[in-house]
Amino acid sequence: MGLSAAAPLWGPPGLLLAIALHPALSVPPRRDYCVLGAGPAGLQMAYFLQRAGRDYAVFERAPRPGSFFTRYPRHRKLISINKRYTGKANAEFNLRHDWNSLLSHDPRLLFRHYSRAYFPDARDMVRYLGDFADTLGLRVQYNTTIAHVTLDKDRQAWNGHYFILTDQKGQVHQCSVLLVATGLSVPNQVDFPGSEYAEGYESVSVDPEDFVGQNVLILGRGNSAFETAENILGVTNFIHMLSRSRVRLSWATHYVGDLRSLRLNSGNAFGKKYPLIRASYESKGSRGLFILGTASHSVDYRKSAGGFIHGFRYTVRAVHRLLEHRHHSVTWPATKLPITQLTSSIVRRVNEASGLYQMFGVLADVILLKENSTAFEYLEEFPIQMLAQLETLTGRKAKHGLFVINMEYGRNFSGPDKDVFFDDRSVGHTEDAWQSNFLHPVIYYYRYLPTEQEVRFRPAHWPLPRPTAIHHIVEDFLTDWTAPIGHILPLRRFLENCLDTDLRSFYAESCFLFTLTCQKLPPFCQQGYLRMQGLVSTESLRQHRVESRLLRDYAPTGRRLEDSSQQLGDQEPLGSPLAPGPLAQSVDSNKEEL
Amino acid sequence: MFSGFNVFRVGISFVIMCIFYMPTVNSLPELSPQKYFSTLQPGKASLAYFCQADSPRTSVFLEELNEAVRPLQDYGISVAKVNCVKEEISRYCGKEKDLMKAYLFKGNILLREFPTDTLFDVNAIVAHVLFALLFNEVKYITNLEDLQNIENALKGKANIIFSYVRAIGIPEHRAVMEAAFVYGTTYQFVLTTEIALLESIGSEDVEYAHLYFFHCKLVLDLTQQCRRTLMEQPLTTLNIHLFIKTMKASLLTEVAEDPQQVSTVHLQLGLPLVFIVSQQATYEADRRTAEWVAWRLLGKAGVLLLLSAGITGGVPVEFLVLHDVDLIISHVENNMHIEEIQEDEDNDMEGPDIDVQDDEVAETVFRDRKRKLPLELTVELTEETFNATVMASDSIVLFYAGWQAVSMAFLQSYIDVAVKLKGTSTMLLTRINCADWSDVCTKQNVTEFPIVKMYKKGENPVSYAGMLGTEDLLKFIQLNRISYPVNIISIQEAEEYLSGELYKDLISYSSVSVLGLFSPTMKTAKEDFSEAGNYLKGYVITGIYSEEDVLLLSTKYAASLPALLLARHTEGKIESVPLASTHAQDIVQIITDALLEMFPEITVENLPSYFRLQKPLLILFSDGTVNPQYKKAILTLVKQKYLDSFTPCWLNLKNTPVGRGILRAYFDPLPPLPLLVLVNLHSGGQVFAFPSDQAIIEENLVLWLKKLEAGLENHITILPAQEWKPPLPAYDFLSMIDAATSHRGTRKVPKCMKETDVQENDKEQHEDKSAVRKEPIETLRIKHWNRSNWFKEAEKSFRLN
Repeated sequence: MGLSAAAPLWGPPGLLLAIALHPALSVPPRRDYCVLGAGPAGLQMAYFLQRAGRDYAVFERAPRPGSFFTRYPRHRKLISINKRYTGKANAEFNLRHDWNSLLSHDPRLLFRHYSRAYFPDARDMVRYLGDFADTLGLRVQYNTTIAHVTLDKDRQAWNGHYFILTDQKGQVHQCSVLLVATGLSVPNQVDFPGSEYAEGYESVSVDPEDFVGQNVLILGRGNSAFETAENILGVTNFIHMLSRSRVRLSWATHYVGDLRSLRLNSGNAFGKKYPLIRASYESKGSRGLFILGTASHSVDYRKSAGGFIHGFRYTVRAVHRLLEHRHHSVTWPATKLPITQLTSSIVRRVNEASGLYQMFGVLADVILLKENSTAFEYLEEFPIQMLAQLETLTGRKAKHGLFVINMEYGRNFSGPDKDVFFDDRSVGHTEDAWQSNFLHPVIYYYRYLPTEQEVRFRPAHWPLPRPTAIHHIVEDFLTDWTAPIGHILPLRRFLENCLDTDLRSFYAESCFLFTLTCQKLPPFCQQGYLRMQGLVSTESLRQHRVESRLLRDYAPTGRRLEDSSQQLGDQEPLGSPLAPGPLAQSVDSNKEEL
Repeated sequence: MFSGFNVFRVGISFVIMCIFYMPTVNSLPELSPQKYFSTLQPGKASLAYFCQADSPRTSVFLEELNEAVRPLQDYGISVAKVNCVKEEISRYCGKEKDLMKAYLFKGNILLREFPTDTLFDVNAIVAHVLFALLFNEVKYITNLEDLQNIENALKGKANIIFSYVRAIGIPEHRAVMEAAFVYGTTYQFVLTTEIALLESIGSEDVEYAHLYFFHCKLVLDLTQQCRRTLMEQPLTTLNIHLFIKTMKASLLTEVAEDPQQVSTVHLQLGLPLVFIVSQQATYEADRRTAEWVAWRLLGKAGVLLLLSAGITGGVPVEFLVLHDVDLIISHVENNMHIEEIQEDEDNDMEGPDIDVQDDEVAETVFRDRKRKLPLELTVELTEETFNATVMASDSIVLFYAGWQAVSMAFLQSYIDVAVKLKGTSTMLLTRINCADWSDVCTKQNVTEFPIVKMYKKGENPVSYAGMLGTEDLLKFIQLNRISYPVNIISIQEAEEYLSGELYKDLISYSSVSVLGLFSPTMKTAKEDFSEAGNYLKGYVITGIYSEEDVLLLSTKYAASLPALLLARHTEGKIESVPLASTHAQDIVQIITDALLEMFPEITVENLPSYFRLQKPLLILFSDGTVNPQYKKAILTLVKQKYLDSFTPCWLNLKNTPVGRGILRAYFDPLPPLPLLVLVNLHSGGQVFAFPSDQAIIEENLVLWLKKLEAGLENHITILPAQEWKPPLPAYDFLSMIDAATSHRGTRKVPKCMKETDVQENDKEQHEDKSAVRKEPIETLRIKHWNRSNWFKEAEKSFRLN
């Protein structure tokens, strides 16, 4: 990975490219997409380009993929978890606990087949990345160091210019789109009296013997600092650790870049460390230049996982989808479903989606409603900061309102020095769901697509502009949001009230009654029963329907329809005063669920 | 006579519940016999359970007894467990472990002994103990004669509360005994468990407990019977108490002031007040009417006679003018219905009812979750086994999600299909839970649930598009045992096919067999027909015949090629339909239209196919099979083209009981069946009824239809045209967040306080909410309160009033 390639690219004041305009003398080989770096992000992009049948090439300085991991971390233990057993079969869900695999259609290319360790060895990562590139036949040009990148203006070009790449042998490559996935290993330069005696993490000895009986001062209190300290702890006199900020533990901040157990943190060097990019991962300076992988972390720095494999594998996919629409008129993939499937489609995603979970606050699902809210389109993992530009970026229309499904921590919860185990930190009642602290789904409803202004000047600490209505699904420590009363029912009520319709499901018998006694039908009957796909109740369910008093006592006169809650009382109370009413049921159903 | 009345409704007030005390927490004391007898106080009742010292420390009985400690203590009865030890021999200590009994003492006199099995739960314990103590206050009787004797004895003296409970010791019995404890000195309580006695005084619904109030005190003439008022609510302590309260209130009150100012016990109990407005000139007659109304509404509403002077000044009062006194009764009773519901809610709701499931599918699936389904009859697929399984054999796959109610409801029907097909089908029934194997489902293009697909070797998978129920899915699977359209190769085979002989075992699933007739040269027509047949596979049997001798068939059935022959097996008829267009889609349409009957029995399953025709439905509601004469009359009209603009059908209430619900929506009151109704479902929603006093014969029908057409008939009702709105509101989290934020903003607390502040805010938030709910804090607490306690307290509070 391009340490040397990266260095000339990033000028200190955030200037991205040394732009040199010179007329091309000969016509060099032209590619639609050039990817710099065959690390995890580069390979992930290559995978999507390959699957879409695009013209691309990856340039890698080293002879094999993942060269960063051949050197770092210095002490060879990765800090990304490799949880091989989650108790669930759902492959999508399992990616929530697999922080090392890249996305592909091939289940053999999952990292759990490469290491048994919870914190795996860096060598396994090198082996994994090599296999990923080889098995999928990704087009990587190894031993190719891009020494120069220049811009060549051309009106014919997709972005108004070509990127001219010159490698170490003087070979020139012309690219329509340049995807930079070179990682980020520019060491922090410290400047203070005596700094010339400091040894950088990139070159410090990993042999504890070299520190025997010494007093060691470690600058920084991030993952690298602790990794180094742990390694030499047994042999030194004293280790002092010094940093500008207090120690931040990731389980307190929910930021994986913070220390996870007393085991990355780069102070406030943010401005120097990361390039200036938009929320679509495109450079603010040059159209057609995208930053992928670790270097793209500025988008969600200190908020989400975009700087790590388990985060950027999703952002890379989002960038690919944006490119597919921009250059190949492929609209953002979406599933079109009838409105009766609305609640279910949300329940399904919040329970299994890994991208939403890993890139909470950055990538969110978007539901675009069709006219009269009879159907909707479901778009997965859209970069939410680009919400205002959704129509142009995806090729989909958002004229009739939309929902955004985002995962969020409670606002009271995370932060350095907060006691994450404070009393009453968990919320159990659906009516208190908005105070949930643990990562939980939040659904925003907008009547109209928010404008850029609204997104930019949104309320402080809000990931999105103020919605028309908002719903929090109450937190669940097992991230299982399938409880009928605790999770699904309040969600349905929220969706019903946003759309001003009745989203309940009904048996065919009820639909039959409605068809002959009302002029209008609820969506479930209209989209199911009337299309001859009604749900027929079995005898035992019918029995429960009578007991639950939900069997409408065949009397939906006009008055009753106005207030369908009355159906609960349609039957006279039975002789026994202990006859369980709706109450008994709701109380024990909650118990059962919890 | 001018009689108007006004019903005031007020929110249910729980005044009676406002005062209560917290009892000291009690558990069952354990004593030795000697110690126990030393604690007995003269005049005080005590229940003791004697048991061997080495007996198990816990048992169901002890748990129940422990629970009974507090309620009994409220009646001044102490409870103890006495451990029999060797040193102290007591005659109450049984010889064997299992012969232990409970004893009721008053002072140190033994009143009764109870085998533990009579005291089967806390209700039984309280009921039995009070029953024993209130021996004089509650007379137990077994026949009508006893009842009459008591009645006669008390005429002019006291009122009687007579109750029937199914058995001694059940909750209703306890409720009656608790009421007797409070009111036993005021009223004579009479109790029976004899159903015959209840029947002999003319009660209906004898399977439930009953409680009557006999108004004997007013009776002066001994030959006269005491008036009786039946309590209509279920027998609970609270209901009995409320009932007695209303019985105690004066029957009719005369008022002259502003009705808004009037308050009676009825208002306090949440019952409506009926004001009957009277004028001086009609006072006597109005009073008689009012009394009559008051008797009818006793226990349901308070009745007041308002002298018209009372409403001249002050606030204008809205009133209803009713011309029939019965309407007053029905008005109150209909509104009572709502009251009851509200009362229920106020009594029982732990939180707002938006947390109560109102989706019938979700609720029933939840209630049924513990029943074990024979899932083993279907093969559960996984990512690993999916492809291999559907490649190896013809399979049906149900894609479902374990957390989705509709999926789980349909899974039951699916399993029923498996049960019915057990061992007979070549089709493998499988299922895959997409909550686990999401990727497999996505790869199979399944994005919604539930979905059924059929995988057959060498064919593209087919999605099932029929009703999600056992019968239709079974039909789909059975019909798919062969491929469609069936290629018929000889005239003889064609005849067998049309007669139903060829696929004898299949025609029960498809009442119509379709045969396409083509000359061998009609290539595209044949292809289109094959496409249509393939499209309809699983729903109808289709065959194709295009041999050289096809003309023989076309001549026989008078069909010019290309044509369809439709064999209706139930009627034994064969029709021919010319194929003008040979587009596959049109053929599908022709066949589906041909499946419709002229005068079908409409059912839950087939209504959609008739509804699709967009014509008004002419429905004959019949309790059982339709009368052949009516059928004949209507079919004649069909043939004479009188009914072309309608869809005539009939509904068998025996097969489709939900039809009663439909009739109830159309008629009030319901005339006798059969009923012929025209429902304009697609435009306007008017419902017209054929006069039920006319015979359903052709002439009358034709006349009625002509009047309808001329607009001379009045509709009996118009179906409501409301949109389906959200049944209940949702939590407004946005406002809650705003409230919390603005709160915090105005407080301006130092930053470091934020954390605690937030929590404080949360508490305030809760309090705010409960205030908004307007639920007095007492009503919330009462739920954790044993009902017997407030009883006496309520009595006190009333005395204070």
